[in-house]
Amino acid sequence: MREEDTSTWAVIIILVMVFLLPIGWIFFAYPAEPHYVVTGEPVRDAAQAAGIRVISTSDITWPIPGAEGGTIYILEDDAGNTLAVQTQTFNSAESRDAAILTFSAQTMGKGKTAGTLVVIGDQLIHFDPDPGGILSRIGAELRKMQGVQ
Amino acid sequence: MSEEPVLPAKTGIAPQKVLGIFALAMINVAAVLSIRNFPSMAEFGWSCIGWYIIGTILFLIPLSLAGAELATMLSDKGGGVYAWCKEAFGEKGGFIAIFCEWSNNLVWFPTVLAFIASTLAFALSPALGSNAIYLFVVMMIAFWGTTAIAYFGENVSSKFQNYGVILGSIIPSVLIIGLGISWIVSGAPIVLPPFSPDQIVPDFNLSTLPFFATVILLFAGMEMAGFHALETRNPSTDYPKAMAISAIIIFACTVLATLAIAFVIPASDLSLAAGVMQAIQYFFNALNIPGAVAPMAVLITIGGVVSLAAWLIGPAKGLGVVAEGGSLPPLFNRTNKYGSPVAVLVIQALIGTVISLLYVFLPSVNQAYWILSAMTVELLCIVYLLVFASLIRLRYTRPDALRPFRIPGGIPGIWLIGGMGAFGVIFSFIVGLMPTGDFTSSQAVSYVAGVLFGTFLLAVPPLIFLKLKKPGWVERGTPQEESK
Repeated sequence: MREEDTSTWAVIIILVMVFLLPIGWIFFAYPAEPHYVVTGEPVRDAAQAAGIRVISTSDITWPIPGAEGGTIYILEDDAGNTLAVQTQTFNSAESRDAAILTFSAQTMGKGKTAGTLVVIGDQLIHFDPDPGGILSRIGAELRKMQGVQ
Repeated sequence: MSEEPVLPAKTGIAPQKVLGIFALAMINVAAVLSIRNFPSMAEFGWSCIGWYIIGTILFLIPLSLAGAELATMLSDKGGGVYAWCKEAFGEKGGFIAIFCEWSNNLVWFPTVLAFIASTLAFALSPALGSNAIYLFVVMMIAFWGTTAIAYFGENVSSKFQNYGVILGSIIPSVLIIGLGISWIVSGAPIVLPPFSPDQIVPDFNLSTLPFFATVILLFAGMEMAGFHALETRNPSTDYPKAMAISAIIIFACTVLATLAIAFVIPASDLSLAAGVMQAIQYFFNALNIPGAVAPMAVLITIGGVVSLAAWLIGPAKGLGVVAEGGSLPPLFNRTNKYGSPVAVLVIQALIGTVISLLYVFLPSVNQAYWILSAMTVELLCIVYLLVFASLIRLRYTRPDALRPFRIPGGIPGIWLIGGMGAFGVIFSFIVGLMPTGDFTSSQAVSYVAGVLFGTFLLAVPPLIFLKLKKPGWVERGTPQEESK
């Protein structure tokens, strides 16, 4: 093989590797949350643990395949900041993952999505954009619940 | 809109001068204006105006002015940001800029493709939205179809974008604005509280900082027309006008359509988690025209495809110019008879296909998607930082160069405009590293390291390629030889 051909192949291999390495690593480093039935109310529990009040709740069913219903929580901290959080239970890992994919595709421009999604078992928990910092107080509590069956 | 070539290609690879003011403006509008943004921003109520103004001052205006000055100054050079940054910082600077623009696309393509597929599913049958096979097939049809359009050169792709952006971006935006106005005129209640000037001021705190980066880059893509310099009829006069027209269209449509949605839908009912189409559905239901949802979904799908086309074609053309210059192996320097960088387009499509496969068929990992989005943001910030730095540097290194459009104010003016833009993107780069509040401490460290590592990997290849560069790449890779 000529030296120039070797260089050409080197460029192609590097090109492929630089895309597959980080993307492969990300999917390896952040494994999918298993689909299992969640008991109780993770959002209410996490809010209580973080000292956040639940000031109202209402039912909601997202109009997407596999969604079986959930709850809208309006949370409030001591400073009067409020945050809407929605939960939704999914009947299968496939429908839950499709909902995650749909949400992840709703980026603003070439940036990120406006809200934040947390996955716990069969539930998706969506946080609206959070100017009051409530998510940072209860998010870590919710993360601790991931994978706890 | 009819843009016939005035200089038909003789060799099969000479650029066709087919683009005028309208076509250039529509390339930018296609890249930037997106219905996807409206419901998300509508959640902020009146303060969405403040957020948009921040994005306009710190990014839209600086980038539009920078693009106008650099594109008219270097109108005889192809490659867009590659040519601009190469002129200021040499081959390394130009190559890194265009490679970051190209590589962030490859990470972003699956996102916009998934949006196209899920939005179309809404028009066909919402149940399809959870079918991975359907999603992948539609994504690939959109991706390879757009690549095929790019294959047929500037004349075809510009017509596609002209009609597509009107149909898929401008008409839906105007429709939403018109319906919002009719809502007000009909006397229906506006769900926003009464307006007062203090309500447009956004909340600034640690929690909203990551959103700041998102808002700044809402207007990313204003440089896209610059990739088409060699195909522009009168670049020195057409570019500034096209930049101004596209900026006005984008700003007006974005702000007014967002407010129209905010007037009609209570923030608590926007249900962003379920997708933009659900918000649109709520909007039309509230207006008693539920039958308009499916046609709107088709239009928004078209808008997604046109946006994809703008981002797919421009940076690929830029990388094609790099290959023509011999900084990539001759394999990358294949230009077809329509003047399209066919090798870059095919390589781009193959890599994009593999990433899309992972995106659709691997179990959905929410944090992984978030990290990929963050990497897109970081790579874009590198591109724009280099553009603003080039703008400033060229005023010092080439002060006497002919600039048909010159940012007013002399050196202070250029520092003001370039400085604002650079400040915006540096700030966005830093806060783009911040994880959302739901990450634990150890996850946050891993997140930051992962984003930086991924960004580094996707930005650094040009330096390696330049080390591997062989003299034969130039000789064997010139377009003239390819055409023989």
